[in-house]
Amino acid sequence: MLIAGRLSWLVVTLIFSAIMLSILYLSSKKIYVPVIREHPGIAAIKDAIGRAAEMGRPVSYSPGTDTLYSTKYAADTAAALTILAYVAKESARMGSKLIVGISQPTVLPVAEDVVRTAFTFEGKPEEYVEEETVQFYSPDQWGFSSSYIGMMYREKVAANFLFGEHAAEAMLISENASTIGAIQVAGTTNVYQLPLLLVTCDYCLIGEDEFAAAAYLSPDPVQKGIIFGQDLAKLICIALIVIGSILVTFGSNLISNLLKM
Amino acid sequence: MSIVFKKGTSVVLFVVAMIFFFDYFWKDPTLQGTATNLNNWVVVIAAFALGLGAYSLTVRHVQIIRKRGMLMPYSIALLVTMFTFIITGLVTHSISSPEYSFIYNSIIVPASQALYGMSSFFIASASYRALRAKSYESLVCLAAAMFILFLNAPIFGVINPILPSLGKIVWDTSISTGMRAILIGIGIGTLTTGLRIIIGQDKAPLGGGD
Repeated sequence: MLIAGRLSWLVVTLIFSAIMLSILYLSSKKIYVPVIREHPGIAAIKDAIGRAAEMGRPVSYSPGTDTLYSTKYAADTAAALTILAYVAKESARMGSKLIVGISQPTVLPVAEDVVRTAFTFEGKPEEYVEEETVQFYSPDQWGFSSSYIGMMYREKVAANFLFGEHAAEAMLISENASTIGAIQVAGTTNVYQLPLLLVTCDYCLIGEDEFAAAAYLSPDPVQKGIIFGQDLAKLICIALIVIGSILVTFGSNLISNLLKM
Repeated sequence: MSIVFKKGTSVVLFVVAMIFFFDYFWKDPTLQGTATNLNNWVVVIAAFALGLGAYSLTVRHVQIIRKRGMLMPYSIALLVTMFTFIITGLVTHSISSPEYSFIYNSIIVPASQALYGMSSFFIASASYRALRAKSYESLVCLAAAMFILFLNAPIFGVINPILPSLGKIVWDTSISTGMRAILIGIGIGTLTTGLRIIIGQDKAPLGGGD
């Protein structure tokens, strides 16, 4: 039996999923491959790694302080790990030392595997140092942030990437990275930390930009199609908001009643 | 990680995701029981992963101590603290025992509070840098920040009672709506990421990358 009040969510989820999968199918069959413009933040990731390589200083990366099974931020962590795969590949290719700081033990083996594979893929498996390239700090946010900041100062990182979920420690990390002159690219879906990252980092991927970046940076160009599907879903949401506002103005609660079903 | 193992993981992931998906929308005792069992497995796996984290931390800091470098005292302090916590918990059979609470309250709590307190100074320094009206964007940012200050800082209400009302109007209209727009985007983005992982298009979160 369907749980009361969740029918509309089921319909919306299915419609949005169908749209995204259709676009993905169309682009995989080369019927329609949408052209996606590059986000300045994504371009900045490559530039920052290149700058670090030129300066001979390391690159630091944090995939956030949440787990892969969190109900709220699992997708955030997943996107951060996808972006990590790209950062690790670019770092290995350009010859920058990469240091990944891990907060959650469940993320540790995944991040290790992502970075190890990227280094092997680029033909530099020897540059991956066990317990050194991917470092576990602490599941506690302050324990993690103090270790991460300490690492940034000791290693004098030239580029710092903060993706995934970060809470109040984001401010501490990004402001300290700014003090040592590191170029920073951040991305989070935590709306309370977004303003803080916006003012401290050079580039910031706001909310869904982080998810789009994960799809955009995928080696498979077909996956970029899903970003277009994402935009179509957003257009439907905007249309619902506009129609709903007009109907409410004229005294009809049709849209809100439909969404409460 | 072998391709066969990765494909197997993708299949397991798809099945588990479908169980949780239908459990959210459909009321069925069998489905509910399966989802609860799977959730319990997550707790067990997370506990094992914590052991892996402790192992990784120990190996790294033992290496630092062996090298007798500049970081040696910090690594010794970290290992001593970590094992003191573990042994105290094991000996007292509880993390709420007076001994364990004493160590927690005298080390973790003050250190965390000190770090949290520092963030206010960092917010001040970052705001100073960001809110200088050097460009059109920073001017808008400054104006929005001023309205929020009108709303939240009590002094503005004393100066003029209209100022907090102005701040409330800006908060209720432009700032809240902007935040909701971002939240809608995040919701759709979460669905996209979930779909990409479930159908096996994005393999990085399973380890190894594409």
